[in-house]
Amino acid sequence: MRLTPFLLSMLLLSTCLAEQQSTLLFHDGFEHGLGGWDEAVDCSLSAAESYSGNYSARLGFRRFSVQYLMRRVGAEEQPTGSFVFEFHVKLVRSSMEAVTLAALVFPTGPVAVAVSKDGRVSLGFGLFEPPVYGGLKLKRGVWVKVQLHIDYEGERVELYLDDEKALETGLRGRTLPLQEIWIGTIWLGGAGGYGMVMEAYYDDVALGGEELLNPKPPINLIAAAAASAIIGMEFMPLPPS
Amino acid sequence: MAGSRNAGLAAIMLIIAAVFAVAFPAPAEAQTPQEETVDGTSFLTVTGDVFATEVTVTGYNARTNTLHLTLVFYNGTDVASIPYNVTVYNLSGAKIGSNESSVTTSAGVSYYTVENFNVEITGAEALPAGYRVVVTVDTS
Repeated sequence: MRLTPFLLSMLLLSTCLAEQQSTLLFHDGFEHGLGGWDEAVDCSLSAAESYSGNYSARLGFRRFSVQYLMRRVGAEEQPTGSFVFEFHVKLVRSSMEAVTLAALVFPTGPVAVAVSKDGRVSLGFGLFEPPVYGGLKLKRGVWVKVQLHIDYEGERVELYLDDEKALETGLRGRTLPLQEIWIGTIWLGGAGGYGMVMEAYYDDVALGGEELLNPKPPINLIAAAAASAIIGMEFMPLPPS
Repeated sequence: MAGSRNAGLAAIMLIIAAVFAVAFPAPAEAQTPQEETVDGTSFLTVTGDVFATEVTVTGYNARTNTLHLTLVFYNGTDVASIPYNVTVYNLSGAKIGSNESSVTTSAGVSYYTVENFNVEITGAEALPAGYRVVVTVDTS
């Protein structure tokens, strides 16, 4: 009972998240192959690795300098406002450079998620435009959930790794409709010094509403909740000895 | 000024080719399991006084299937312009892209840099893992 302030703060947080509208516009777990994509370059179906289900999409150096899947977004899949693009990736090997992991293409330009040579994630808005780096690093060799939040209300782009915010930057005029979804390498060279994907696996690619976000509470909220719990505990009667 | 230089070269035929090869062979050895190298080689064939001294691939955009190059030309004679052609071949020798333009020269200037020169790859669905970029200057 004395933990009421803590429970209330957690309840309030979960209620706020649950009230967001649920809309899943597109999802592909690659359980039925790569047929849902318009272009596949140096990409194959893998039964050896998967985040969920039995299959994933494997990108790997083979015949081309770039490795990617591309899908044109249809009218029935169009977001009408702020949305989240989500994918799970297991980056095993890449060239000794940065590499783009995925990109969204708008009429006003792309937004690309990349990982630098030292593992830091970044957002790129053009081949020759310096990327914006975040503070988190993407772990190689393990599955990581990557979420790109296109927030029109807040006029910002947020990038999350496993529900932890890696960076936030301005939207830079990226307007709907969403034209294409890219998985893998969209650029080589350029301002980000981008290179090739040697081996990477993708699973559960999704496009949906903001309810897909499940951000970890900011540190100060955790601290406040913990403090309120401690304060509550201070007034608890000691058990009879 | 430019006309007089052209007149002086009317009887001279210069065909200059600078050939650079860029290849991304399958990496034989990894430095670490996560980081591997891709390498390119380049070579230059000069048969005249005007030629490309540097050919640098600065970027590739898979969405537009366009290769971006920076070129540096050397003018060792007195031509009014440097017309050049850039052709991209796959390693089987098939042409997969081409573009051309020219540089107008100025008196007393020997080196000219062309930035962000674009060649659209039309003969392949994407840039192959191995390819050659050939820059030809023909001032004949």
